Amino acid sequence: MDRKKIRVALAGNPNVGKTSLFNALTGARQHVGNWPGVTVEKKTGKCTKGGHEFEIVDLPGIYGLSAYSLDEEVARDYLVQERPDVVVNIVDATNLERNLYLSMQLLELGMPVVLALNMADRAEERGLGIDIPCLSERLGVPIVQTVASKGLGIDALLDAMARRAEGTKAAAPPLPYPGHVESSIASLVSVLEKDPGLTSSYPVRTLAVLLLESDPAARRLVEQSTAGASAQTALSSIDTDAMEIDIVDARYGRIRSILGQSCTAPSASGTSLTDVLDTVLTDKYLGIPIFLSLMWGAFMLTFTFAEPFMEGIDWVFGWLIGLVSETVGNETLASLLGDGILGGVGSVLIFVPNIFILFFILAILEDSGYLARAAFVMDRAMARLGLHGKSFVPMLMGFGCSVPAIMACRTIENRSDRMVTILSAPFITCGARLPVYILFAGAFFGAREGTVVFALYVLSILVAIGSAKLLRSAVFRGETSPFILEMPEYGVPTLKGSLLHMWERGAQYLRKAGTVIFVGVIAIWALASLPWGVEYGAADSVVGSIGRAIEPLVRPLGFDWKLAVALIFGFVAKEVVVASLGVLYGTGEDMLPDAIRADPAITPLDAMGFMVFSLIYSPCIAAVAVIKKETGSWKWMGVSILYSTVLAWVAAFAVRHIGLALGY
Amino acid sequence: MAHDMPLSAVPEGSTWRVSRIAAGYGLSRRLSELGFVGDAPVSVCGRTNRSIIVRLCGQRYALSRGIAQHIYVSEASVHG
Repeated sequence: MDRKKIRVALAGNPNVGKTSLFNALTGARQHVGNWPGVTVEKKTGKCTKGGHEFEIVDLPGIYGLSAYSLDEEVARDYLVQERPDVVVNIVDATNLERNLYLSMQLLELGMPVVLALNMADRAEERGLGIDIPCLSERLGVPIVQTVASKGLGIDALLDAMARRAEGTKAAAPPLPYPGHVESSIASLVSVLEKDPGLTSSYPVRTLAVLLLESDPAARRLVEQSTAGASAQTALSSIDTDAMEIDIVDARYGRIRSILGQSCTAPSASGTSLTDVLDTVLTDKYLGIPIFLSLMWGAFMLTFTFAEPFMEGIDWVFGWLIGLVSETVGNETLASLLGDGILGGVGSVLIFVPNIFILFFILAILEDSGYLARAAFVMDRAMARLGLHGKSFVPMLMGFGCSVPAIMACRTIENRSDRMVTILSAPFITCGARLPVYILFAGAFFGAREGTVVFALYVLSILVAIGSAKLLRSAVFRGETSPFILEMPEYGVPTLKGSLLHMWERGAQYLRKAGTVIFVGVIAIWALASLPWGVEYGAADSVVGSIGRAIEPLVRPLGFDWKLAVALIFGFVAKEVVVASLGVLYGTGEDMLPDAIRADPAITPLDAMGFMVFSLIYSPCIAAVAVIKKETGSWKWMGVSILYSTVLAWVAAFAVRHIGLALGY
Repeated sequence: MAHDMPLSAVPEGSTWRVSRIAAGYGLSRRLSELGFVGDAPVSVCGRTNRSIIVRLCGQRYALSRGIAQHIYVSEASVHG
């Protein structure tokens, strides 16, 4: 059967359940990419119902269409240029006044809107009565009630979307503005109409309104048109500052008049649960201790829960390696499979439980609404460090993996704040660096292993903070951006939602393990096996020659060629440091601590220096690639690699000489 | 409006009405999109040294002091 294709855009404010609705509509049939040219995430998905195939684009969560932020510009450009068949505008029923502002703008753009009235159950609980037929009639759009988190109302929404796409695209009645605004609109319209190119992308009236609002994108568009000069003249006689406020006021005025007819407010605005929780959780004195104990709990849970899974993965890979060495006859192939692929990939997959559990706990905290409070509570402390309250979450995720941490910086609006956080977050010691510490601290510091690892964690935080301060004072000067943060209602997170959230972030780590690290371990194996005939990983292999070539550079730090090689391969992924030492010493990972302890070239002081170097030096290749993508700059990517490696060298040098001076 | 004052100076608890936004293009636009527009009822429900939490039309926001300084409010009773 030939299905009719309907292109749908999903628009709405942040935190209104847009992602839940998108998931409910498309299920697993989604694709995550980027909007062309920018780092805003673009999600697309498909679903079918009846004779229709819906192609759904999830627009960024936005409060308006004024092209003030990148998200808003992306959303508006898509709507204007692609002209979707239906725009599903999801609104939070408990907060209609603000949500309908975006709806007003969508209608002004002449979009075929279907309103998804979400969280209607919560509105009812609060005693907020909404007369849906009346609201629908006053707005001139069909309305469907949904509870996206539970998947309710999806069928009805799809039906409404199909009807809307097939129906006539009658423009909504224009929003009447006060008299003086209307006369300015009329004078601009008469000028703009002279360039037919302009009216093809925007309704001409909308374009006039945007100009009166001093909208930068609309101004650029008009300036480049043939009507540019005369529009400029017309605008110069208008006080747009005052006009802008009148326009916004008029929109809100209309929303209030519509809501006045269709909604009944709750009788008493008693204290809600959110009020009570916020009094405690954001308290001046209690806020930070509560936050820190929650984080401590999250880490304890992560490591406790992950333990059996990690042992399981370790066992499976040990068994597979044994199986390969017993059954594969060809020695080269057996070495490639066993030493190379299974050994390397296994040492990476072992962190998957840790990372997934940490992301799951973070997802629960985020979905419950707590993370927004955490950003608020931490804002003051972070500001002292030259960082934004929102920088805290990326920093925290850095303990799992730098890749999602850097990606999480997208939520920081101000560019300087974002850059400082992107460049500092990789110093937070990620899960991949932990095995290096465990190996060396365990081999050389015995009973004091725990203290040494803890000290390295503290050092990583200090380095990240120090770098943030340095970048802030030397490069990205100026105040941290003023802070507006929406605090969503507290809610009970759903298992499905949190699992999806966890999966989205954790999958990035898995992809890295599947691609970059897989190729990396094969490369190491090849370099350690070539030229043919040498003993695997011996000094006369290619790896050995590379190591000895750079040995002079790290000699002042007390590292020999094997450690140098391990560090080079660590650039592929920090997990590979341990894996490649296993290769170079020709032992399994069980025997590796004994092997390095027995190596006379490594003293406990060298081990300390090596751990410090591993902690600070260049982020791994995956993190570096993400830094390039998120900063959009080769220069800053280069700075990140160079700065961290030089800093690592200096720090390891200091460790060695302070240690020597103290008589170690 | 003669008797208005910045939101940053308002005591916790009571409800006020937004009288004007004294800020540049970007900030005033962002604030008005969030609903900080003429006559909107707003109340302060918590504060730290650097930021305040306000409630506006049933939604809560954390604002830095700097931003709160740009939002002028007047007593709710003036407008009824």
